[in-house]
Amino acid sequence: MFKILDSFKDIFEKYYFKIYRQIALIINDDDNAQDIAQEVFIKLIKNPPHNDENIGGWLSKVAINHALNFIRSEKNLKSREIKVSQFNDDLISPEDIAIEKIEIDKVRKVLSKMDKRDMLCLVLKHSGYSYEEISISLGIKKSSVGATVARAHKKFKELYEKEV
Amino acid sequence: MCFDEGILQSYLDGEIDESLKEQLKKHLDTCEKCSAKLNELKNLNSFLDNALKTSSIDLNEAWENLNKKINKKERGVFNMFRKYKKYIAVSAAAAVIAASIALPPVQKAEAEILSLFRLNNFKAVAITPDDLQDIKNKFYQAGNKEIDLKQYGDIKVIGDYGSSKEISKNNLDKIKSYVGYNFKIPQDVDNFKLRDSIYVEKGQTVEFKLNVDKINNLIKTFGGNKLLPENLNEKTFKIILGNSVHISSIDKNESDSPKNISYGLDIMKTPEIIVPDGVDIEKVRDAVINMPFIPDDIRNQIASIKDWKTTIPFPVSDTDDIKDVTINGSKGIVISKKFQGSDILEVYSNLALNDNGVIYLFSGNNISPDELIKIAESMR
Repeated sequence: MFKILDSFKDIFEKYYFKIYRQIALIINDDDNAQDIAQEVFIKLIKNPPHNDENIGGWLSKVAINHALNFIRSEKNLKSREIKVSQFNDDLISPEDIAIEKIEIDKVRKVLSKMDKRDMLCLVLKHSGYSYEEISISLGIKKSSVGATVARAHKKFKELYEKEV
Repeated sequence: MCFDEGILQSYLDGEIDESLKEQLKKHLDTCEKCSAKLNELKNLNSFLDNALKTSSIDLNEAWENLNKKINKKERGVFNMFRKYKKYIAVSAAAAVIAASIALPPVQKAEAEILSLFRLNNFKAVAITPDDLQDIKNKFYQAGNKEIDLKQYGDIKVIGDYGSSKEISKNNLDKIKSYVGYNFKIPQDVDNFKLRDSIYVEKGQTVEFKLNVDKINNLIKTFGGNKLLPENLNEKTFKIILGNSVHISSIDKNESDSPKNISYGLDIMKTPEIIVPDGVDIEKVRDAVINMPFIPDDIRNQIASIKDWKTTIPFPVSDTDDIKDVTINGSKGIVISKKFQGSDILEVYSNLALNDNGVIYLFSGNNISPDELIKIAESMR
């Protein structure tokens, strides 16, 4: 199968930031998110989707898988433990940095308490994906994306306010 | 009638049908309940936007890093021939559009030897991003947004791809008898040392059959009138890629430096193309060159290749530097590109050379074209 596609660079420019953001939110780690985002593009070159697939939906789906795999991997578990100890060190660094860190971790904590599909829907929307792409990525109907987003927003705020 | 939250949210996100949008707007003017709801959703939206912050990133830097990673994975450079080979083998597109650009037709099947072309020369064919856009636009205008190449022909690859065998460079005779032809190797010049391991790979044959009616219909859709000869239908073309050898040099810059200075060398017999009996190859070429969706500047470049029966057109981008060279009496071509990495300027040079029916393809990391020529000249 062959399709006259946008050039690889066009796709990169259009989607890199969305993918990066999506992964950063899921794994709560901006540095590793860049590495994983690059893996997603390498996969695009090596095993591109069939021509009938929506490229944004496909990329987002691959990014979710890579991000979830990253969270699952043992190696990462270890580095998370290290992160916790680093986090304690951060407390002696300037206060605002520490506060920002707590804030980010809080967001992550709230996201982890949400229903997985609602969480992913929220993350994708705020990474800039279209409803069409979200519906393909998550396998939900396009017509129900709006309702899922609204529900997820409410749920997030509710949990966020409970979290001290 | 009031609207549900999902619709209001879609409206906020600009994901609503135009017709519904008008309806909704009118309704919002009069319905306080929905207006309040919309406002609430709006606030939630900005609350979330604010909460879900990530650090910003430098897109250019990310693009460069990605290119580096890709280049590393591809064993150094663009590694022209490997890429080229794969591109012939995997994509059915090769059979029709790309290969018609990339491969001058062709030669023959076992018994009925008719014409056999050996591709001995190289000619760079520059393809610019505008050309690709141009092709794309033509397809869009003709209403052919997607082309399923399967219906235009069959392609079959015979032989394993990627199964290679490692032999020490001290057993050069063994390597030569394994691949079945004689070849030269570069000497250690300017501290470039060859790695001990040399890889040999068995050759492959690519066979393809075209569905002439379908292709001719496509040409007609675009308003073209030079068609492929009818008798080409279901005839099998073959491209024979022989056994190949891969040699590489040790990184001159030791491992602690991020800048890799080394080269790789692929060696193989000149590929052969077998055209089935009874095919008027001039007509095929004529039809291919005149395919209406090929941009004029590419068409002119291909048409101007004089020894087309023996020339491999190399697709290059317009940002590459290209020059013809003669090395120890053999003709070749050098293609190079400078590339600004995140902190260092990288140079990729490629050199293709035909010497006595054997093709040598050098790909250098951070080696200037002149240095690469020097290495090629040391071959014996």
